[in-house]
Amino acid sequence: MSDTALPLRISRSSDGLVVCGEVDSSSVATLSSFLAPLPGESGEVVVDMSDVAFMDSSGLRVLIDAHRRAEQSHRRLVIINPSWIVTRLIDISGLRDVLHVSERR
Amino acid sequence: MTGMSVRVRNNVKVSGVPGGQAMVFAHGFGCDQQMWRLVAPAFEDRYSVVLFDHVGSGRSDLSSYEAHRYTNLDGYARDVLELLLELQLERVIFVGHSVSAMIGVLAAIERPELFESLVLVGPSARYVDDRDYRGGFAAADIDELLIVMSRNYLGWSAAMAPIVMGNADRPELGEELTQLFCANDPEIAKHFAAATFLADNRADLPRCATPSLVLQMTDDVIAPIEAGEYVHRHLVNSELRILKATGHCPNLSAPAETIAAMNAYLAAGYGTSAGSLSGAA
Amino acid sequence: MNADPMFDDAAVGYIVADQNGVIQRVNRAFLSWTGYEASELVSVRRVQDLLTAGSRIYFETYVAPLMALQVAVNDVSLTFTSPRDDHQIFTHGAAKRHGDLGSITAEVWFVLVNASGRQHFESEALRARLRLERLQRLASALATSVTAGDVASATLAEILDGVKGDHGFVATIVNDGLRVIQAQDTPPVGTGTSALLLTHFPEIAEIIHSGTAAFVESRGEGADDRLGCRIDGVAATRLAALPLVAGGRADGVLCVASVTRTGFDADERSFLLLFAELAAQSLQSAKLHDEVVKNAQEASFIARLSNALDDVVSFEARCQRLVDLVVPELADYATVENPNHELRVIAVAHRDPDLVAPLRELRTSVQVPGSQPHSLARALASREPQVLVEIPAEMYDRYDLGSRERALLGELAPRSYVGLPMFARGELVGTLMLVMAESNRRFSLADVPHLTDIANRAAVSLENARLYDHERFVAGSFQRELLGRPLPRDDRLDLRAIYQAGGELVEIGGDYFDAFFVGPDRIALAVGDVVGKGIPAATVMSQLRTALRAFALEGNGPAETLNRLDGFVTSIPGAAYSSVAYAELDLRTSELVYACAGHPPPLLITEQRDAVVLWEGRSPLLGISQPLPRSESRLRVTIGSTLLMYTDGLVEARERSLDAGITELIDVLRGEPSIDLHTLVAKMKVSDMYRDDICVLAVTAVVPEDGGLARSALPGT
Repeated sequence: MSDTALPLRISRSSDGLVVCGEVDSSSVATLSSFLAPLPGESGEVVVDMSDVAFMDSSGLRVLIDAHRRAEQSHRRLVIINPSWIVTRLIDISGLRDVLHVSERR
Repeated sequence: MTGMSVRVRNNVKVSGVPGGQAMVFAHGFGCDQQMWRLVAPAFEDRYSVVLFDHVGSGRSDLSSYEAHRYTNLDGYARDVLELLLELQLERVIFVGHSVSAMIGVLAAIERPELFESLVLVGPSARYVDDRDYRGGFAAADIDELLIVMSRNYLGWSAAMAPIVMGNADRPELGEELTQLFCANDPEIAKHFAAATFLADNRADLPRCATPSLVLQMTDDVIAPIEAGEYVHRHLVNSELRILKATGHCPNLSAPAETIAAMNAYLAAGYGTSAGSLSGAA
Repeated sequence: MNADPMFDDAAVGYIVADQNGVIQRVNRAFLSWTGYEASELVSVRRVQDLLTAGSRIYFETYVAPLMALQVAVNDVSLTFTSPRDDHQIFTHGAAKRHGDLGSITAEVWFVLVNASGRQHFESEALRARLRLERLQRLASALATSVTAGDVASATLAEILDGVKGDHGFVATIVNDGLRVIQAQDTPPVGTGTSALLLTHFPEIAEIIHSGTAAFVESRGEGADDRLGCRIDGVAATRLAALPLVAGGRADGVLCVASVTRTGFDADERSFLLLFAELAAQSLQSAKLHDEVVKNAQEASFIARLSNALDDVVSFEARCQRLVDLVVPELADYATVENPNHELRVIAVAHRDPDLVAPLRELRTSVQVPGSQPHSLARALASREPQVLVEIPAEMYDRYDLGSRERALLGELAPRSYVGLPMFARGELVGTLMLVMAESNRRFSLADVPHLTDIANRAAVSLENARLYDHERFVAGSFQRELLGRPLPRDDRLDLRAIYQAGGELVEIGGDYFDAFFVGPDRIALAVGDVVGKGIPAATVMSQLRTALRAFALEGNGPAETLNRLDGFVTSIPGAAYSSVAYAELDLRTSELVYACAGHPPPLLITEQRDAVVLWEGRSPLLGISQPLPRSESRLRVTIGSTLLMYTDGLVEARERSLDAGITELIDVLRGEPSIDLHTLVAKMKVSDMYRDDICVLAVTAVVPEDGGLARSALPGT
């Protein structure tokens, strides 16, 4: 990992996760482990991504996978406050209408 | 060699013609360079005469004695080469008595360019009989020698103290008698005895091409005539001369005959031509 | 000369001799001790002739020179022999010279005291003193001995000297074989290289087990071959084999042999037994020490082996590391071989670099089926290590070897052999062959556990490398097969593609591209990215690519093709969430239709280097659960324009957002007079350890020689 990398830090919140730093193929396993199984028993899983400095397609795929598992158990994965880079990635992948993305709430 | 100089280690004494061709005298087992006191002076007018004591003998530096270096004759031969190199001597005439005859042969095999010729006084390539070879002794005889030496050294400190004799006509003897002749350390002497009498250098003889004079004594109980003839036969470039002198030490008992034989050999161009004819066996 | 009572009747022996030792007068005391008649001696015999051999040497080398040099010698012990019954007379005395040296009249007077009475006591005292000295020397040497080798060499030095042995060795029992700890020769009889071969002396094992010392004597050459031992080619005349017993258990042996002397007298026997006992005790503690050291060394070797092997990646490299590590520490030469591997002889190492090539040649040539060395074959068949402590010279006679092989064998001169099969997960990974040659070392059964550990550890590492190599090979050949197919050739197009793996150690990724005609004037272009790495991703990629071709060739157009593909990926595990950019260019109408499923936007660069990012026609990644309407977009392409399709590896990096990457890509393209894909990729690369695969497809519409784009028909005709 290069010197400029910001470590990925994930913390649990009352209704989900707060993700900070960089999500790439070297750190994606950490994000994956926080989402499998999904946090909480029922209701929404809220993933705050306001402080994600970098994310590539591997991170996005973890989110999609979590999103699909949430739907299968009649829950919702909600990404809140996505940083600009996350928003871009979601848009480019055409997932704006697939994933539940919400601005500040 | 590092540290001590070879001159001190081997108690080297140089006399005769400064810068002249060197004649190096090596004593045999049992004594020291005093063995040559009746022979060496006869060459001082023509040669640079070099005398020395083997390590462990005479006034050599006893602290230089390392048992492992001197378990066989190679260590002594190495000392001779170191001596020649330190004194920067080349094309020397090496005169070796008894075991030093073989020490000289070994040194000449190693560095032939340092040797003009070898004079071998009472040489033997092997003292112990071996099948058809006659060296004169059985292995048990050498065992006994070591016991005899031990017995003679039981009171060693006083053993060799000379009896001072009133000798009016030879005053220089009286002075020398206050020294200890051949006063060798008993333990080292026993090791030297084993290295000497258990040696087998028969295989080395054909490897030495240096012109050599073999001086064989009549009735030498240490090196019988067969041993001398064997050495002569297997040295490729040697001349055999039988002395009328009896015993093992003609350098003491018949110095005049020894000197004459050496002079005759040296006068014939160190025996190069004569030796190649007679030594073609 | 008149009778002189002081001379004739004295209790001491008198001898008067001339300077050569010839006896002139002798008194009655000496005659009665020895039993000689005066007439037998006077003028006939020399004093030295009457002495024992040892005394005679001493007389000639010490007494005679001293007499010459210093007139008198005092305190001399001389032993005479009697002619009658061969008994010995021990005397003690002095000698004095009368007259000048060299003078005919000079005489030497000997005064001798018969010391035979004291002799026994003296001899005993002397012997006891010598033995005590020896014992003290050995005790102090043993006290400073740490290893079994130290103990053995200190003991051998004293014992060989003490009984005048020519050769000796100390060996211990290891498993059911004997291992020589130390062998020593006494110069000058031995040359230091003679080895008394244990295989030639089978009684030794018996002696150890019985715990009783054996003293064997042979009367020389051919007389009695019971000793069965030769030293430097000479038959031993006597041999003592002394079991080393400590703590009530014999676990070693000390042997001493001579080639000249015969028999051991009672004194020598008691001396040998005493010293063997002393040595056995020291040996026991030294062996414990050696054991601890050996275990530590072995553990450290395994650790070094693990590190060294895991340091390199490929199977062949690891095999080479293995042989490089065991040579010369554990063997003089070594090979890793596997008859099922394409190379067969995979790695060789020899301590002598000049013998590496001959070794490889020999091992390669004897691997011809049917002539495989039997030990190796047996090791493979039995799955057990094979040990040949001593390779019999005649062993190779049984093989059908050519003269070249024989010459190579002679050069390599194998002496001792261990063959270790390496199995991991039940699979044969290879055979490790270890051979001792020029160093004269030998393997023993005791080496097997450690060597087996090494082979097992290496097997795991080699198997991992083999699987990794295999995966790389399969994935690589997949990719070569898929991506290496020639692109369609058409003079209306300049079509180029590049694929660059993320890095040497990174597994093959799932990027792909494709280009094919879906109609005479319609070329289809695709660039995609499958989730994951390695063989699974490569497999999905190949299926996806085939499916895409199939749907495209149906004439569905980009959006519908992606729709069909959407349905397809749900049935292929691992295909979901793939991204793809797909475009069709009509060469007749110059119309480009494209669609992107979650894929970075293609670029269109005009001849003037103006760039358009094709942000339209977007839809989500493939395989998202809900059926989605896929959109497509169309535009007209001018001659000389280039369509650039790529995977995210080209533009995306941690240090650079996708948008910044695209902007940079446009900048790079603007600065280039022509679009060379290698240069493009090199310029876009950022220093980043994590690097994705990169795949780029570029198509430029060119004016064909006939002046139009259309092949079949021009528009409106």
